[in-house]
Amino acid sequence: MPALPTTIPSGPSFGVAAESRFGSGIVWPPETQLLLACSKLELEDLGATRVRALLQQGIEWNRFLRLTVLHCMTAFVYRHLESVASDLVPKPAIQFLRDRFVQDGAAGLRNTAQLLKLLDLFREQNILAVPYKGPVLAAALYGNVAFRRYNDLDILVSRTDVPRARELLGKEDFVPLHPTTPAGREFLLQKRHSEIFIRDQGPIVELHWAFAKQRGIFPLDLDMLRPRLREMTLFGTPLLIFGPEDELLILCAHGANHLWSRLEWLCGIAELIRNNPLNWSQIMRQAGELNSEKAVLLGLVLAADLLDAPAPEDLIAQGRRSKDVSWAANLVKRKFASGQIERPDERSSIERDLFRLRLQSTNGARMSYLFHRITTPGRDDTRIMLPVGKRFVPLPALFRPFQILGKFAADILGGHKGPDPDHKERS
Amino acid sequence: MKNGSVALHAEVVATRKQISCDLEGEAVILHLGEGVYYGLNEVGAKVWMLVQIPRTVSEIRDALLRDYDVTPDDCTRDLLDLLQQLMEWNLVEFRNGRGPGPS
Repeated sequence: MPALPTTIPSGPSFGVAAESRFGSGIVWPPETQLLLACSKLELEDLGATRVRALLQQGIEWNRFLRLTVLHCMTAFVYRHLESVASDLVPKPAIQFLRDRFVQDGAAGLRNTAQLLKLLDLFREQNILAVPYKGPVLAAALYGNVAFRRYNDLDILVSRTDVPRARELLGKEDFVPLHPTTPAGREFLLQKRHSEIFIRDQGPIVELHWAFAKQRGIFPLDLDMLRPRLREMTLFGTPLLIFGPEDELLILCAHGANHLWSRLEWLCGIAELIRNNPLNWSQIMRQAGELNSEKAVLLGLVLAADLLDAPAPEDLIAQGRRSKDVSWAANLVKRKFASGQIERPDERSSIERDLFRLRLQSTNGARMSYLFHRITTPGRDDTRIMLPVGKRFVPLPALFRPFQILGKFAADILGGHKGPDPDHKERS
Repeated sequence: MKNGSVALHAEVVATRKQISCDLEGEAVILHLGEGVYYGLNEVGAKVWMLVQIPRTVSEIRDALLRDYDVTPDDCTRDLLDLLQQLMEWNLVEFRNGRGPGPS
């Protein structure tokens, strides 16, 4: 076992620049530091040393295990604590992690089996269906479907194939989570990006035909991705998945959309960068075309700063020079450091919308985002459709602007204010 | 052990109606037809990894003898018991020779 260093390494780079990369003025509790230290697929000697050193400092185990589970990092943490520091971890904690990992593995296999069955059905009907996130991402990035925790299966099809895909899911006893009328289904197809299906024995299937509900915001679909799809085999079944550059774009956009509230998403970015030669010119050119430059830069800055991902230095510098990217990165880091995990229903609408607005590339994109935010109904708003001219409009759409204003008012009156990332805290 | 020399030359491989994942030294297997999960400890997981391609029982035994401090007789007996169990669970099949047979 390597000897403990005389000083505890302060961050992945172990250098003077570490503090600025982690965010100056942010207090990082040891539990969060330990979680970050465990967040690489492979720990080298220096990483193992850091893990042991942090454990020696003392860890509040309930807090640490809660953070591990909420950030979906069980597999990583179990792997590293078991292999490099089992002598320093309480037996109940190791047992908890192991049991949780086994549960995740079993659930992962069940969901994978269902995914492969659905993909076979789509293939038989000549529907190009590309799975992403879930077990496919776990296998591609980590080599093991048990290394990600997921409750739903995401499948992307072309918009024109959606009606047939819906029918196939229906034959497998999947029903829409938000039942609607034929007019409602057509409205969803035009105005939203996905539909959720459920059934008694699970899993949840999210059928996508785009990536963002607002057209013009991340306007990417299967037809654009098709030329760059690559082959992969999952348990002997050949699949088509996104190319690594497209995967990075999609993961960065997804993470930004959800305010990077889950550390495992960032691990995916870091491992993708570590293990794939990427065409960065292509990535940034496409990011520009998709109004997602800042989202990509944010993902790279966070992956580099928190997980030591080897992203290009010029892009990291570009991200740090951007006031919006720096503001967003600081906000995400403060939330990580605080251990704050928000369920979707707890998230402040104002904070989320401000975050997304600041990551839009142009004022035009910001206006488009606001317009669609205020006018696009939710999935469950299409049960009652009103005829308006030759089209149908969901009844709740008429009240949508008031609904949104109501949410903002509730946030303000309820004390939800976006944290001020310029507020300095002593480290 | 019944007819051990024949059993040792038998080729064994995982069946196709299952998927599995590694759990840091352990393994969990889902039989797709039956919808049943099976868990394997470290040694079982090692054997499971080895039968992902067709191997003879003796090859598997020799791999275990390299990794574990156990006598050849004990190793062979325990291995045949495990393979018997896996066969009863429809997780492995034997080719080109008889399997362990009923104990």
